Amino acid sequence: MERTVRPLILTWLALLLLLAASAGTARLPLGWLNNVISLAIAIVKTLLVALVFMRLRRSPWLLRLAAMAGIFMLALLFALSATDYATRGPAQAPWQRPGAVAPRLGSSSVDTPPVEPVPPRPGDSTADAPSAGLHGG
Amino acid sequence: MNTNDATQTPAVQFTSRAQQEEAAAFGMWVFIASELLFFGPLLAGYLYLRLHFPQGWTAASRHTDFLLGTVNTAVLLTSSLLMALAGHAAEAGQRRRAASLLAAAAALGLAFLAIKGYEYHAEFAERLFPGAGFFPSLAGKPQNVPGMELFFILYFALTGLHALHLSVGVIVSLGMAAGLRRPAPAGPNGTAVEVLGLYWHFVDAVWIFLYPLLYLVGRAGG
Repeated sequence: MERTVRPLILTWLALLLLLAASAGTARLPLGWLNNVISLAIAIVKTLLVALVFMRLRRSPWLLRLAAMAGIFMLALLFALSATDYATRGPAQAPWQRPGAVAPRLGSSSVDTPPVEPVPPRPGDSTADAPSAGLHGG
Repeated sequence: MNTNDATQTPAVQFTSRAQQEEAAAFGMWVFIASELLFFGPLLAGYLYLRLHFPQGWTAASRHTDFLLGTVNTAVLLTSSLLMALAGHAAEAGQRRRAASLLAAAAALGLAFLAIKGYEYHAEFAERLFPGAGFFPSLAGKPQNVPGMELFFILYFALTGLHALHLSVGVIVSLGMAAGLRRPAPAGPNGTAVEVLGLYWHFVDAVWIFLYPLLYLVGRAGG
């Protein structure tokens, strides 16, 4: 009994340590590495759960293939969606500058002061003229 | 090893008890694969919006409760340990022990839902729920940080869908714990507990990804 329970306890301890590492590193200013670290830790935690708790470590290949098929289909979904969304920018339309449009979903007339002009955002081509002037001068 | 289950005769369509157990686990794995595609489109939407509204995303993520999110992750990981222990106990024929462990895992699941409910309550009070009243206090005017509202639409959709799955897991665990109180041939067997565990661990794994995606973005500033 003890021999079957020990790997489960060790896995649980490892999961809690990884959680602490994830929460701790999230507060360090590492830039883009923050995302890489937190997602890498999430993948390691999921592998631990899948291999030990869900017993893929000792499962027949049929079950491992079923697990991998789900991940494969999800990767396919992301890849095929990216052929559209990753290859074109957002359309420039008035509703994307909410400050310029009067009734806005999410702005309450009681608490929000009157609408002011929005400072131009980088990448907002319709408002590039003044900022370009600043940089040029 | 399976002292309890291996001695039972298999159902007519299976040649052996082991084959029947494998078929049960296979069914749950196929269901989990389809569940992955149920959560998947929300995650694809997350990726798209995060790449297009990086500032709004970090500003919105800082409005979530870092401490309660971390505590909840630990609660769910611990419930998964209890669920795995319950599977082992049930396979070894220790039905009372398995029932207690299942009930304990369900109790931790309820604790998770209670903490999550408290978070929702605080977020409603902070006016972080998307809609006409959306007005996050910390980031100034929401007009200046586009994408914050979109983050909270995904936040409530993803955590809500996860909470729904966990609720189903809690109800089934409690039902199975009650069934295990009956003597061996009646009630659920070890395979049933093991298959429920697969579902529970999947819901746990979903949260393992939701935690960094929803709570940890932009915590270091910038």
